[in-house]
Amino acid sequence: MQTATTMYWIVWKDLVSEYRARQAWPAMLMLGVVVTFLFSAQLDAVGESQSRMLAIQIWLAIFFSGMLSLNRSFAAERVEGCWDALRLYPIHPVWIYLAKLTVNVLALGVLQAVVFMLCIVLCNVPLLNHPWQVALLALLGNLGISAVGTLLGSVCCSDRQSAPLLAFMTLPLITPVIVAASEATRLVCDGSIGAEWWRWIGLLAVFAVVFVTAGIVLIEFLIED
Amino acid sequence: MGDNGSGKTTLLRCLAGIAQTDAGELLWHGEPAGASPELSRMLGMVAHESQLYPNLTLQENLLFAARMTRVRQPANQVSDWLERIGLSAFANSLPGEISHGMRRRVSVARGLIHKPRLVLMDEPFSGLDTEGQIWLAELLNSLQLQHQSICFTTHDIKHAQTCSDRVLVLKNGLLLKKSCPTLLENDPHKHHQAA
Repeated sequence: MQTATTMYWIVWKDLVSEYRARQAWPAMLMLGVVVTFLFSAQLDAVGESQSRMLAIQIWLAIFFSGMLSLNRSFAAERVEGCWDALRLYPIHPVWIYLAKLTVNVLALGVLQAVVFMLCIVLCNVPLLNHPWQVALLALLGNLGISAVGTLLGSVCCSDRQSAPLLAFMTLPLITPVIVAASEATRLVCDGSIGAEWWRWIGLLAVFAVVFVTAGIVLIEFLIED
Repeated sequence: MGDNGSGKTTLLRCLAGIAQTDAGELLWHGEPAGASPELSRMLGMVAHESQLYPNLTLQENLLFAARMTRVRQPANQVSDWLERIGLSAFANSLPGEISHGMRRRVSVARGLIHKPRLVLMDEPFSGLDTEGQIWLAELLNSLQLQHQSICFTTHDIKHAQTCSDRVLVLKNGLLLKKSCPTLLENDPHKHHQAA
C-alpha cells in the first residue's frame, strides 16, 4: 500500500512539473495535429485503400508525436541530479518504472483522443460507430508503445545518451504494435469486428503484457550506473 | 578530502549504492548498499547538485522528499525544516527564483528530512557565503550530538578540522592518509608529496 502511495506521488510530481513547464505535452500534441493534418490532406488521392492508409497514419502520428513525451519521462530526472535522489529513496525501481509508465500512458491517451477526434472531423472516419472496440484497441496500443518507450527511456537516461536515440531504438521494437493497431483500426473503420479483429487485439494484448512484464523485471538492471 | 578527480564523489556514490564498485564489496550491516528500502532509509544524501525539481516549489520539493521517505506528518516536518533553514517566506518559490546559497540550504533539508542515521554530503560548503558556512557547520555539529553520522567531502582543511573527528585523504582513487583532524597538515602540498 505504501509503495503504491509513493508511486502516486511520483506521478503527481511528474504531472505538476509538466503542467508548470509545459515542455513535452504541448509539443507532442502540436506534432500530432500537424502530422494528422498533413496525412489527411493526402488521403483523397489514395482511393480504395483509404481506410488502410488512414489507420497507419493514425498510429504513426501517435508513435512519432508520443516519442516527445516518452523522451522526457526519464530525461527530466537528469536535471540537477534528481535521478540520483530518486534512486536513493527507499522505493523499489519497479515502482519508479510503473509511475513513469502511468504518466506516459496518460500523455499518450490525451494524444490519442486528439488524433482520433481530428481524424473523425477531417476524414469522416466512422470510429465512433464502435466506441468500445476503439477504446480497447487504443488502450492496448497505448500500453504497448508506452511500455517499450518507458523501458528504453530508462536506458537512454541512465546511459546519459541523447534523447533522439530513443525513437531509433523504439521503432524496430514497436513495429508489431503499429501493424496490429493499424489493422485493428482499419477493421473497425470497415465495420468488420470479427475473428480477424480479435486476432490483432490478441497480438496487441500479448505485446503489452510482455513489455510491461519485461519492464518490471529488467528496470532494476537497466538503471544501474 | 582530496583534489578534484581524487574519487571523493565516486566514493560517496558507491557508499550510497547508486554507483557500482569496480572491485570489492561494500556492505551496510552485512547487506550491499541500497539492497533494501530499510537500508536506503537509513541514508541521506546531499549531492553537489541541488537535487531539487525546478518546477516544484521549495515546499513541494521537501514534501515530495518527505513522502518518498515515508516521514510521519510530512507537512509539519516540511514547515519545521523551512523554518530551520530560514526560508519559510520562500516556501512557494521555485528553486530557480532563489540564490544558490538558499538552494543549498533547501538541498540540505531535503537530504535530512527523514532523519537518516548516516548523512553523505558532497562538498556541502561550496557555494555558501560565510553566514551559510557557519550555519552548516553548526547544523553538522548538532547532527553529531543527535548521534547522526556525517560523511562529507571537502577541499578545505579548515572545514575538515572544525566539523569532523576523522579525516581520509584521497588521491587518484586511493586512500592516501587516514588521520585525526587536528593532526592534518595545513599545507595541502604535503599530502601530494607523501603520495
